[in-house]
Amino acid sequence: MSKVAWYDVKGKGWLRDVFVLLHPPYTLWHLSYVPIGAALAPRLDWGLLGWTVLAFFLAMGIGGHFLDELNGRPLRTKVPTPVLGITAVLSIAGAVAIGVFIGLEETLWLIPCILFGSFIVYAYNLEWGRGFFHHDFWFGFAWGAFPAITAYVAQAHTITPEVVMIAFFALMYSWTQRVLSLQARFWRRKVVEIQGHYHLRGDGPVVPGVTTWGQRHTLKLEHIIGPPEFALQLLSWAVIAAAAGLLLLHI
Amino acid sequence: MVPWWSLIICFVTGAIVGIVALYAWWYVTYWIANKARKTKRKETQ
Repeated sequence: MSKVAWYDVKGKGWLRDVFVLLHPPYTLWHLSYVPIGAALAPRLDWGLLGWTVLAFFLAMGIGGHFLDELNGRPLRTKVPTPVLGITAVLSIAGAVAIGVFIGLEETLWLIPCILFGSFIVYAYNLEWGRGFFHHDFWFGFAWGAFPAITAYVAQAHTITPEVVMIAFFALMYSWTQRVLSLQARFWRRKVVEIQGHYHLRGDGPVVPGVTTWGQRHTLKLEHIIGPPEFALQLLSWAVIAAAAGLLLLHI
Repeated sequence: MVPWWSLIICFVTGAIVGIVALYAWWYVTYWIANKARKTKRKETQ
């Protein structure tokens, strides 16, 4: 079986299925918005940050991704449907419980965040409303801006212009991810055969590694999915580094 | 101080709401697919 994503691993069985279901680089990517948002608060409560990260891991990392697989099996895993459904529901319920507990302890402003989060995780992944929520904007908002804002509200109990700007950054950054990922995913998962050639201009500057000017070259899948997937790897590391850097400010 | 059992209440409520949401989605999806299949069968007859 061909790889369904650049982070897919060789082999079969439930271990591979669970690994690929969790989308490790993307889960880390989106969880990074939590410390980024939290670190903007004047005073960082590390325990609270830990609970917020755990809640988002349960709802988004496990719940969201398992619901996504339930809806059409895009990753072609063999995890039984009831296991996917029950794990997703219990994970999201765990996140809701953590959220409500923190909300009652810290600030009631978290309650609207929990209501929105628990709705969008189902609406986005199960494509409610004829796919209205399964859209670039909602992806960027729900998995980018929303974790950053929620983490900040949990810490600072308010919303400030700074966090709105950071939320906008997270929205745009996640939107970029979706654009690149959709392109790569389409060619990797949907296309079974690629045929074609391209000719290089003979009058251009010499590019390292290309010595056959004017010749005909065979178009390969790597030519199409290589750049967006490499960009996705770089962007993953960049956002994780940004989160780590901001957290270091509070040590 | 929030009592610890509120966590359990929230978890159970969340799970029930989730199961209902999932069942509703499955029902609607199945209903749409079934309707489309019936329409197609009528057309071919």
